[in-house]
Amino acid sequence: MSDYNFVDFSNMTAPQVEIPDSAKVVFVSDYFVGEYSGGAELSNQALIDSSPLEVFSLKSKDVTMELLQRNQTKFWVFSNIGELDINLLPSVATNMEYSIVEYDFKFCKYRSPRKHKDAEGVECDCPTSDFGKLMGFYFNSARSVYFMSEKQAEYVYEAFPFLRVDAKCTVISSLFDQDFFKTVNVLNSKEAERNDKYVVLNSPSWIKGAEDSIKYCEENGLDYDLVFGLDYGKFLEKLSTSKGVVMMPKDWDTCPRMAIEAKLLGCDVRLNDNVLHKDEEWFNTDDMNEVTSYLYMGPSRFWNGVMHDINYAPEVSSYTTSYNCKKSGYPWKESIGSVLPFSKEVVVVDGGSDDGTYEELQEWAEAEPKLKVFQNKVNWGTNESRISDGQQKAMARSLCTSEFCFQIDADEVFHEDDQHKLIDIAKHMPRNVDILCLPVVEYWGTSGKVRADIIPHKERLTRNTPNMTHGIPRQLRQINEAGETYCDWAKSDGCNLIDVNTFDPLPHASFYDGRAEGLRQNSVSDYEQYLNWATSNYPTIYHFSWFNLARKVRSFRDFWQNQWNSTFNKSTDDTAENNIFFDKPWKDVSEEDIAECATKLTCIGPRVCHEKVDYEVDNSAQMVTIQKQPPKVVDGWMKENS
Amino acid sequence: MSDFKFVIITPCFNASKNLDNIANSLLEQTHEDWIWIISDDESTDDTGEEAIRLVNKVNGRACYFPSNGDKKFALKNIVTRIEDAGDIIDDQYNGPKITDDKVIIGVIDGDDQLCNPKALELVVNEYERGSDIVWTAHKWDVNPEMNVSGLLPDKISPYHYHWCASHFRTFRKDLFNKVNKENFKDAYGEWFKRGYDQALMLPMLYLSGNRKYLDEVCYQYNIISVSMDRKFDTTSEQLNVVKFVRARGFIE
Repeated sequence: MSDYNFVDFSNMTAPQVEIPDSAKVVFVSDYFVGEYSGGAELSNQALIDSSPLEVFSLKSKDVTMELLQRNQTKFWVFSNIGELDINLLPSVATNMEYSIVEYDFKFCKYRSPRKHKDAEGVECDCPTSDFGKLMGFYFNSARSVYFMSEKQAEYVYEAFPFLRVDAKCTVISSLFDQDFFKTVNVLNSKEAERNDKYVVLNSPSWIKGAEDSIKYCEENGLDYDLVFGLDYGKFLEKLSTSKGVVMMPKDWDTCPRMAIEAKLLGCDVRLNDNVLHKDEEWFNTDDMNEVTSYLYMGPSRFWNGVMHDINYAPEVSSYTTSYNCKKSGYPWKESIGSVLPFSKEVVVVDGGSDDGTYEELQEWAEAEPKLKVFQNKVNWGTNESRISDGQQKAMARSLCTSEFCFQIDADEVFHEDDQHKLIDIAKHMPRNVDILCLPVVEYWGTSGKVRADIIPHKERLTRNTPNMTHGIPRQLRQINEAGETYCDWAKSDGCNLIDVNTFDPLPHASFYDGRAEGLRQNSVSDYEQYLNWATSNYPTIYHFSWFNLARKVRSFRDFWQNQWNSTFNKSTDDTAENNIFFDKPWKDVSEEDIAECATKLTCIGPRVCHEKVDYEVDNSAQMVTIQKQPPKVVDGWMKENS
Repeated sequence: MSDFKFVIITPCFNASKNLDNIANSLLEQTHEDWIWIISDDESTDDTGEEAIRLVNKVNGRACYFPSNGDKKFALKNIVTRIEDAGDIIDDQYNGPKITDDKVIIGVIDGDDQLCNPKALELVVNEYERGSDIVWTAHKWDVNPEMNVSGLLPDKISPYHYHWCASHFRTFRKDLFNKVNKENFKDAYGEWFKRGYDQALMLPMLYLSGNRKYLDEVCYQYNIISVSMDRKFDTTSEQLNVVKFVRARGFIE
């Protein structure tokens, strides 16, 4: 999102950590092997070592807002994050593309519902607390979540039921590196003689349940060895020469490595129900090849998922409306053609064209499966069509089926250079944003000059949320004596994005902010520089409505004069008063008049034409030049209209 | 004694737990001249057995239409039964043929119920005064203050006004007869599967010459007590239908 972003980063200090550009994945954890070698750290290391991409290991405590912002386009993996500044989680969940490797139960502030109960004497109610809701947001926004065991996943689903239906969760179990499998092979091939003892981990950690394990051995007449602090290689060797292992953890252990190590080394493994993976098919078997192959594929399961997430490209449905586009001289074919390449489908709702537009659209749709053409006839320019422009767009939108929607008008063309940018911006669109405004280059006349008299953005890229539709915002809706709905004078074109039930306008995000608007109002040259920056960096729409000014004046005569007056509940009579370009009714306006008017409009510069044009007002300075060439697809149309 | 015949249609999908509530709410009505049509739509629970039991419970003033292998969803299910209503009335009453302008259709969803013993009486009174479509206030089981229904100002197109005819929905059959059935179908000519309330009522509200909202709570919308999961699961699909229906407007 470059310099203009959704978060205010103005008070940030310099980052303590630099993540190299070459790193594609940032792996976040409290500790890494070398600092602490717990089960999570060993599994993380196995993942990092097997990554097909360059991974940067980042300690949780070193994550800052600035680091997140600077590396927003990288893919992030979060595992244990006890030392992460919890205030960063909303920004992570809103702005980052990431996966979670879940080793315990982070929906609980104790990371264990049982520990919660022991500590507070009541059942864990974290999922409904502020903490739990924050964690829910964090989990819900992840591209994928990886669990250690099926039972662990079930317990998390109970806390966050939305994860169950999202189908983004995978059980990968504990992870082992290649050296481990080699060591196991070597030890097993020795076929060393085993003693009659069971290994008990004599960990001082309460949760490991050493006391219960000893008790189990004594109650069942098992001879045992207490083991703790052995070098890892020695420990494995010890297992390979012991009869078995007893593990009776006090609390849920999601996928303890020792149980797996013992199993692979031929031990008789005695576990209690707190070992959550113990009944899983891959583990509860005597076929060691099955156990080994399952574990061997663990990192692949993870990285295949991550690669899928990294390569994910959201689908976009584009939609537009048409009405007598041929007769009106719109670049409508160029418009549709410009969005077809990146769209899963392009929905067109025709408003009852009688100039051949609809037939050509149908013919085109027969050859182009992505083009979906519908017709909803409207009696344009009459009382019946006061809000029809927005309703036609609403209907087209309602027929879109993709995750994202892109709206374009028949006189607008999307730039071929921006197709990948659009998909990329959709992919990284903050999750709390449903509507994104994009730059619009509005030409005024055939000289290539661009309007600076209006705000240069429009609501175009949207999530396909069920409540979003087009229409007149609630506060601008009026009802006349005949009970007909219309729009407050010139306050809206009736096509805003609104809530379908309440008609409330919906919030948008935009590249365009107060600073940019200040430039536009105070310094055309600075604004020109800004707009060139914006159109170079963001996917941009090129609007040709006012390119051929004579054509535009004719379109007012044939359509827009009446349609605007209908929208705003004004008289649609053909009178001199109602004609915004001429002091005579349209029936008396000749082609020569229109040509002369177009010349005058070129000279006096851009303006919003809802009221009579004052030819004495000179806005010719309110134009800028955009260096980027218009879309190639519209070259021919521009030549014809110049 | 009113000339109007009240036909209550209940489209059902896995509604066996709630049908008895509907039966009880009908049996306590002060206006007793009603027929109840229970129309199953491929339920997988014991809706059929329960419906047969309730036909007896209401002394034969109900008809049960079992599933026939054709999943209809609520709108097609209701419309099919409305079209059957004349024959059903003829079967129930010995006497002169009842014309469609004297048939009131009311819809109680399989998971909801009436909650006011005077509901039918109040509604019939409005039809006696000349209305051709009448809806009332309602409440939710989770919140008795929750009522989406309300007044629709005269002349205003219901397509351009916020939704206000949620429950209890009733209309004269002759008004329904005027609606082009294309209004009940999507852009591909398929019957709407969700959001049937607006798809059914907006065309009739549009055509009505005398529409009436009764600000009396007559209907209970059950969101938790009966079928929360199903209702929440379909919210997104409902809104998509609503968007389309409202954008397309009325089809003559």
